Amino acid sequence: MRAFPASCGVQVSAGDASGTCYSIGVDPIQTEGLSKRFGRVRALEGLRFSVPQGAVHALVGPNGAGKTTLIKILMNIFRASSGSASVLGVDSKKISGKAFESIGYVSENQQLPGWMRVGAFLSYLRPFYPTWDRGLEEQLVKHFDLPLDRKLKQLSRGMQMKAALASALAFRPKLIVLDEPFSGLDPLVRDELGKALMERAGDSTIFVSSHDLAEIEGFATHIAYLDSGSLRFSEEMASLNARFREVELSLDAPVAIPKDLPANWLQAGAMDCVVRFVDAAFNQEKLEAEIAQRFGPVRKVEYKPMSLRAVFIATAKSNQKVL
Amino acid sequence: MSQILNIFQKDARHHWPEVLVSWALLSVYVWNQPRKWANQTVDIRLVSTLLNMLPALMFVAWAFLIARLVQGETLVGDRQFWITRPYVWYKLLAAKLLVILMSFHIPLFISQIVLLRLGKFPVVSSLGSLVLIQFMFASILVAGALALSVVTSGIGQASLALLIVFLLTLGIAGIESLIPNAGMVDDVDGVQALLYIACCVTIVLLQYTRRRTLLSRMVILGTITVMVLVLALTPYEPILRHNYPLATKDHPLPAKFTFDRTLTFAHGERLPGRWVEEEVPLELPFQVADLDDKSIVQLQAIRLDLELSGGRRWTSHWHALSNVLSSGRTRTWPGVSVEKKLYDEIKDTPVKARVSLGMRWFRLGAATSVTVEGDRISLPGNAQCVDDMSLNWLRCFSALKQLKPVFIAAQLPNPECRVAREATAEEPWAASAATYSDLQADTGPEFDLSPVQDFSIGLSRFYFYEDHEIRLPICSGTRLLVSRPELQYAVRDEVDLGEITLANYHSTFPRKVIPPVQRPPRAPSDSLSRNILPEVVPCKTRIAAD
Repeated sequence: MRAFPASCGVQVSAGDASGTCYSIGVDPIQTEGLSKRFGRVRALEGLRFSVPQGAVHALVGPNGAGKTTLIKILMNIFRASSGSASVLGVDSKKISGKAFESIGYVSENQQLPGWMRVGAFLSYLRPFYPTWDRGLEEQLVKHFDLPLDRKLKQLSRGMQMKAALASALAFRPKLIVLDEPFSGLDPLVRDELGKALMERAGDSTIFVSSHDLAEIEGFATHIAYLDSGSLRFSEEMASLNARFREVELSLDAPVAIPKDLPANWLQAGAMDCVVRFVDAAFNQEKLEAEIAQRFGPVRKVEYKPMSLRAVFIATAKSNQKVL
Repeated sequence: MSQILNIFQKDARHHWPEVLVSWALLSVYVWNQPRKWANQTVDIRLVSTLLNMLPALMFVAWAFLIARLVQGETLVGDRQFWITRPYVWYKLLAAKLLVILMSFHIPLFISQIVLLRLGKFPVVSSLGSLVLIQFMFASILVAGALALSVVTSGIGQASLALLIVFLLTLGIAGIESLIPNAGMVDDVDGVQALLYIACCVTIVLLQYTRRRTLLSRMVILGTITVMVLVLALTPYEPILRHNYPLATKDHPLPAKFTFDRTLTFAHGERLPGRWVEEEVPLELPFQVADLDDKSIVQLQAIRLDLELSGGRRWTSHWHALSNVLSSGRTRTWPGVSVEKKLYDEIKDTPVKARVSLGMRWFRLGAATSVTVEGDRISLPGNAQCVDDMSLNWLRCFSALKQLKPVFIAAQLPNPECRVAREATAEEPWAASAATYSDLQADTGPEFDLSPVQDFSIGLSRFYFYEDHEIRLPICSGTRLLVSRPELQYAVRDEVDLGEITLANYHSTFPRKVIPPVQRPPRAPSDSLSRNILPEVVPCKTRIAAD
């Protein structure tokens, strides 16, 4: 996992116990009470979060959680029903034209001009960006092994994604927004894309939505979890790793799970003399006291760190906000 | 500017096949036009058919090109790569318009210059009008194609949208035919045209600035709704009464119209299917008097009101007429239709009737005398005409617009034309003037692919009770007096017909007016039509055009 720059001034927002690095007013992405409805369907509900400068911020959540909708609102492709969002300090409703000189956006289902050859595609885009870096373009072409003389429509999905990513990175954007970039790609391509992003991290702020938690875990500094249009949490990866623990209690006798468990105990279950749950706000001292209060003396307690995948599943299966 | 050129270059590289096809069609059109002027045909039927379809093919090719061009950066959907790139909307639009300018407007402009030169018409003095024609194409074809292209994401969708628009247009035309007096007020057409252009411009701008496809489609539907409402809610009757006010002391009637009760159609067997099932056409005989030799009257509208038994009233509402009356005319037969159901009910019952006639009065300006020499004639307004003897008319060519308004009278008899002399001797009607008129206002250059206007001038005379018309051949040596009519005013006459029996005014087939006119030994049309055969034409006419 990449360490988040220490220069990021930590400003804890009200109700945010995770220590998320918020610097109001300068964060490349900020939303406030953002909601989106499609007819009667609520796609997003009162979303408030921000992506700090220099972060690699992953947005995860199950299908239909509203990830793509959020990104499309940020990119001014969709209009929010209420609330506001700003991208690089600009109201997302006004993001257009020159504002995209600083934003590199790639989406899994983006329609590229299939009739264009890769080389012509990059050449065509070059004049749009004053900051286009020919050297970086060549590096990316080489790194991705892009066939410049092939038409985009003749490329595999993975190669198309690489071409799109090369075109979105070569101008050294301040903000890179990626919507499911790894979806449907083979592990080799995922690895290459991940590495390319890692190389850009630090120079650019990266906001990436993905199902691929293993890839995300490798390079994200921040993570937000979206479910049914609501934000469950948004925090630094380090904080998340510290916060989530899989807890296993070995008791002397079988016990029923009490009904008044703390809200941060997820997926609690008992089998014979073993009780398991996920603690979403791990604090060993406090946890031991609560265990003692509910279960009395315990023969053995184990606190296991959790993978992002395990956190994702535990959060998805629980139906409560764990921010 | 660099962004505009960058997009332009990309589009030029991508759409060259479509551009090439449109240029090829335009080239064939330019090649074929002079052949058409000279009546040269291609023997191969398929080629001939394709050449006839050429203008339609060109419009399809241009519309296809515009649609493909716009949809290269489609404005519909949320997955296009370009919408998250630093495109500036007006530069994108400008780039698309630049391609349209280079691939459509400029080639068309050049081809029109070439056609003017081939037609031996002045080019430099026509440049302003040619530019105006390009604006017309931009407002009608380009704006329409752009509008459909910006709210659709592919050729299939665009074609479907075009089909829907076509069906809606047919629907609007159908609605128009159901609304009494609709189609009689030109102002409505102007409003509809403005709505069309405003709608096209609005949705093109809306899509390029905001990409609000649903809203744009709603704008289209809204515009169509407004068009229908304008059509349905326009107070046609008051407008027509305003457009054709009753005569006053300052604006008297230009001629006296008297219903001639002495003439009727013979009651007899009529062949079926000679008129539209739902409506029965009537022709009402009027005598015309007091029309001075510098006046022309154009009957433009007629309305028949009937007072039926039981105090019921029926009106035909206003119908269009195109009867033109000039000096020497003594009769006219304005036509009006009656619903068949009503006609069958009252056709033999006397009913009180009243006719309203809307007319325009023109004064003839100074006449220019032109003599037909051989088979060619130059008319004022730089119109060059060739005597097309097969059809008894002059086939004329002029730059940019047709000769209008114009009134042409032939000075007959032409002593050099044997047939005319014979006719004069045998038929009392032959001495009356043979005339041609086009009284439409001069509204500038025509919206047409070709700047060389190809139109016909036929000189007609009326005979019998002036209910028959014949187009005369024009012999060499005939003098034509060409005048420019100037509109004075429009006025309405209301004529009380008294009690009439409708069956008396429904034309028989074959046509038979009572009392019959004493026919000359030869039917007039026969004696004149022989004139077109070279062996019996003594005058110096030659069969047309080289």
